Amino acid sequence: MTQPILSLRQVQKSFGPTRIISDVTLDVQPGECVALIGPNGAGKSTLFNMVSGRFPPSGGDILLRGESLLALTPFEINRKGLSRSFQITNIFHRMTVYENVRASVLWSLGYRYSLVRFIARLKDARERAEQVMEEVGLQKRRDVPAGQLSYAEQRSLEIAMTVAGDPAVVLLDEPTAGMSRSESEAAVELIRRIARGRTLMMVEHDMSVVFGLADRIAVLAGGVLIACGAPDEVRRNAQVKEAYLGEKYAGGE
Amino acid sequence: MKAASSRAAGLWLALLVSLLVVVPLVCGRAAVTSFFTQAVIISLLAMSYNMLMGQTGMLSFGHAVYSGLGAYCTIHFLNRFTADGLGVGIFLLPLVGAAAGAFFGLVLGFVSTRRSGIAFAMITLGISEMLVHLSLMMPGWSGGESGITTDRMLYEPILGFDLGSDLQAYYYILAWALAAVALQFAVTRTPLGSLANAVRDNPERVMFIGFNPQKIRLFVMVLSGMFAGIGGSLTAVSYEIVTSETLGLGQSGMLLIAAYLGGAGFFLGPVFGAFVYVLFLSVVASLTHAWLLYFGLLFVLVVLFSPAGLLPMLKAVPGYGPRQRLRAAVAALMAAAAVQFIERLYAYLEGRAAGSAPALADAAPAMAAALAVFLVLAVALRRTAGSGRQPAAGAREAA
Repeated sequence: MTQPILSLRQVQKSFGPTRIISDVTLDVQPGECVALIGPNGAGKSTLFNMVSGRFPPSGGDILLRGESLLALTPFEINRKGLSRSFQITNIFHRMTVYENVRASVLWSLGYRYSLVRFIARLKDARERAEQVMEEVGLQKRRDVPAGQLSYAEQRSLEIAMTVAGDPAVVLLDEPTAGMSRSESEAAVELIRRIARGRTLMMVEHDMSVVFGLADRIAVLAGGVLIACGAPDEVRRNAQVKEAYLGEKYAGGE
Repeated sequence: MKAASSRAAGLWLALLVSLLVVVPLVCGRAAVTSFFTQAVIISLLAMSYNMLMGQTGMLSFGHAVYSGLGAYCTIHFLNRFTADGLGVGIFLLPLVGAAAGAFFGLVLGFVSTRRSGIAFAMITLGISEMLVHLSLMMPGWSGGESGITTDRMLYEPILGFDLGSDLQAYYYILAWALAAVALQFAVTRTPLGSLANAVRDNPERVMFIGFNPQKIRLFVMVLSGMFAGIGGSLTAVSYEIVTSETLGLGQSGMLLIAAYLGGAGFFLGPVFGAFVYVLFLSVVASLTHAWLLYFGLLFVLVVLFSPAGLLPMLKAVPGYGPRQRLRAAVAALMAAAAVQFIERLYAYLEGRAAGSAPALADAAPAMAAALAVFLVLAVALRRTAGSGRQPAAGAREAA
């Protein structure tokens, strides 16, 4: 078996006396697409926040290619090739679509905080930004301020910024939340494209998206990982049905 | 469309620069030269302030620290070596202010940029107060409230240039200010300039595209301190004096107001705000004692009704429909009525303070009339508000 690219070892999180995550252990293999599902409040976003460095776990360890991420800041983790998107759209709203994407490719191309060259003349940054905009279908909206995009377009921009730096591991936090059926189908196609050659982990509520994309599904309920396996396996799991799917299907989704 | 708008911006810029170059020369009046000198210096300072506020989203209450320290270092340097001792070097004198501003931007920014938002604003406020008091405790260095003076003049002129006249000083200042603003523009076009905008819009997301927002804030602080230092040097050259007051909150607040008033979201917005401020400071102040009150009212009105600043408001005027033109005229009449009321009130209060005791009955009718006109117009403006707004929003989107 190959070394997992991302590995969570008995990760715990408590806010004060409240335990949010208990001993979550999960290995993600290179190239895999893992969907993280679970009822609201199960701790999915909290887990993402710990992996991406937004806040540290209270216990356990998180490893990227065998290297601990615990002491690293979000930007250091990003530079190591792990990039994330946000559930609530998190973009540079006064900058244009192009400027948003271009800013997101800068570090990976090695430009750092440069002051000695004009950004418009960075050919590789322009080409990479244009390629990414093409990939997510935003090239026609290139010069529109990001704050003026439609909701679905902002979600696409969110994904564009996440993959702009060509990360090896991508975390997507509810990429299709709030989308219509057709928008959501387009988003699935987009996610499938960006997943090529990358390791993907995503939190998603829409079961058609989850079963359409995931190689493995991890189910989190009450901060505990209650199941993890192939989609069919998880679908048959009685505990999961009770904790999550049953409730969801009973809700008429 | 983008090319057309940038061409229009280029034309405006060319017009502005030629006015700055030609008007003081043609007029030849001391008051005009002094107006332009002050406006150019405050423009540069407000622009350096706007690197923080408008471009990086950092609300500072202590920006005068950098211009003031730049001015102090320049004057000490000039007094140590004298203008004639510097010779041709006098042309490079603002580099002293630039170095001082960048140095203090680095040292003080190292502390203040560790925080953002309100905490950052409070730290800058504290640093500013601290330095004013420190300067008062070191009268040997700062000259205290009366300040320290210098002499910029070259007694051995270089090619007829001796910095003796205010007009010569003006062109010296203008050349440096234009160079500094050109450099500031170049900064906005670099990767760092783009990242500064990203920090302004969403510092948290910046961390997730691989950059440290704290570092970006610090770098911008050093740059803006450097440009403020150049502005401080130009102040020293122009007035040949610097006092501890120039480090303080009053000066910082003035830069904030100039940048905001003109339009912090626009590169040249602060220049516009600075000219409006100096217009009040010199022209309006020569007409009425209430000038600061009017300036304050203007600022409050802009914050309330055109929060993006005066520049975008003026830009929207050509697109106004007949109804909006009428509403603008009514607003202007309201302003006139308000001025009438305030002037009468001031005249009465000043007369009373001077002991000539004018009867309130004499002033009251005119004041009441002005107030009545103001209120009637206000009601009219309010009544026409609902239907007038819709086309405005539409027109803005179409443009």
